[in-house]
This record gives sequence, C-alpha cells and structure tokens, in this order.
Amino acid sequence: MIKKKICMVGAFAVGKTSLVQRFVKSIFSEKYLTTVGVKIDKKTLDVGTQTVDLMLWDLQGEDEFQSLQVSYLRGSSGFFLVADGTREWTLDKAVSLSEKVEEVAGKLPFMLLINKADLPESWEIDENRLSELTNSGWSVVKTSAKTGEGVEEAFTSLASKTLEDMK
Amino acid sequence: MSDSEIRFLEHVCLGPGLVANIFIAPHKDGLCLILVDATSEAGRIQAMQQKGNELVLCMERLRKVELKLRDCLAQKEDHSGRRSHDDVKSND
Ligand SMILES: Nc1nc2c(ncn2[C@@H]2O[C@H](COP(=O)(O)OP(=O)(O)OP(=O)(O)O)[C@@H](O)[C@H]2O)c(=O)[nH]1
Ligand SMILES: [Mg+2]
Repeated sequence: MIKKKICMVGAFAVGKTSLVQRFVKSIFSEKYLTTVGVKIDKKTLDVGTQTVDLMLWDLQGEDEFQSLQVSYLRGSSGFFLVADGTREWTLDKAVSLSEKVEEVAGKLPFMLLINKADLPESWEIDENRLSELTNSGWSVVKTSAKTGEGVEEAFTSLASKTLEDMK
Repeated sequence: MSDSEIRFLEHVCLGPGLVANIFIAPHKDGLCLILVDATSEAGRIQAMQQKGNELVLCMERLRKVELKLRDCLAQKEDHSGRRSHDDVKSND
C-alpha cells in the first residue's frame, strides 16, 4: 500500500481540523477547539487505479505565541496551506508559511485552500489576489468544511499530485 | 537533518485525551521510540491557547463591526449633508 503524509498548515482557526474531520469522518462542528501539537488521521483513497493511505497531519495553527514546528514536516509528500476567506491576514500568513515549508522540506506539491466559502457576506479575500497566485502556478481552491464544498476534490487532487511526483 | 540525529515530536495526540512527546533515535536494529506522557502539559497549553485565540478572534470581529459602523455613519453624514444642501437650494 502506498502511504503519503500530508500536512495541514496555516494560521489559527482557519479550519484545518474541520477540513480533516469533514474529509475523514464527514462531520462538522461549529465549536472551536484549538489543536495543540499535532493530530494524525488516516484515510484510504482510490486515485485512478491506485489506492493510497493518506496520513493527514493536522498541525497546530500559527498564532502570536506559537510558530510552525518544522520537525512535523519531515517526510511529507505534500501539504495544504489553509487560509480563512473571512480573515484576509490569514492569506498573508499562508504565503509566508509556504516559504518556511519550502526552506525545511524542499519543493513539495501543495494546494492553497481558501476555507469558509459558505460565508460570502463576511468575505475579505480579494479575487485579484487569488488570480495572481493562480497565475504564478499555485493551485487555489475555495472550500467549506461546513458544507463540504471543494473538500473531497482538494484532497483527491493533492493525493494524485503526490503520486505523480513518484513517477 | 541527518538520519543519525535524534528527532523530537512535541505534543502528538495519540487518541482522545492522550498526548505524548516522542523521541525517535536511530538504533542498530532500526529505530528506537521513546514516548513521554505529555497529556496534562498539553491540556494546560490547550486551555491557554484556546482563551488567547478566542480573544484574538473576538477582537478581529469587533474591528470588523467598528469598520462597518464607521462606514454607515459616513454614509449617513454624506446623505444628510446632501439633503441640507438640497434644502438650501430649494429655498433659494
Ligand atoms: N462557517 C464555517 N466555519 C468553519 C469552517 N471551517 C471551520 N469553521 C469554524 O472555524 C473555527 C475554527 O476551526 P478549526 O477547524 O478548529 O480551525 P484550526 O485551523 O484547526 O484551528 P487551530 O487548531 O487553532 O489552528 C471553528 O469554530 C469551526 O467550526 C467553514 O468552512 N465554514
Ligand atoms: Mg486545529
């Protein structure tokens, strides 16, 4: 069985844990329970003709007191950068974290998830900014851990990118 | 990081309410794992982090409401300014 380690990286409260819970257990909770350290979940996925065990490392978010612990990134095959569409600064944080991850783990397949797409009335992230990132080669997907929008597609897409990387 | 180094993973959640600090050291037969219970330490950090993050989220929301309020007030002032200007004009 092929195993792939995927890390969830981003500022605090952007929805990293919720996205993993939605993908692995098809559940969502409005209640916020911050993650300390790392929680690892597994989901088996069929990607084309291959079956892959995704090991999802849900990392503690960055805040003023805690920065990303690079030891968690070792051995990753790819990562999700998660930002909260209703909090613009979390996109800046995601961009700076992508540089940090690359410094530590090298160039890895990744996707930028702009989460909380179910809250358009509170949206703060400018479409032009996302187009710029897309034009520079980033894969950007809007997701909602609440409704499930874009979630399955994002995980499947990153899983297949990590498999392509093996070829 | 070389493979001969000891690795340290802090606060790894192993199951509901069970957190460990994990040391991974190279060993002649493979790897040696040392797990140190960190459940209560992680619990204390969780409680503090939860309060801190919730406070920041509250402040962010408050700032948004304040900006909206300022916007509304500015629009209202603009509107009433234009109305009194129109009144003066019609009196002329
Ligand atoms: N409306 C909405 N709320 C969401 C969504 N995703 C997460 N949330 C809420 O946002 C809050 C934070 O979600 P978490 O998944 O705990 O965020 P996190 O990134 O894991 O946070 P840390 O562990 O502190 O870094 C919770 O109250 C969730 O219910 C979403 O897609 N839509
Ligand atoms: Mg979390």
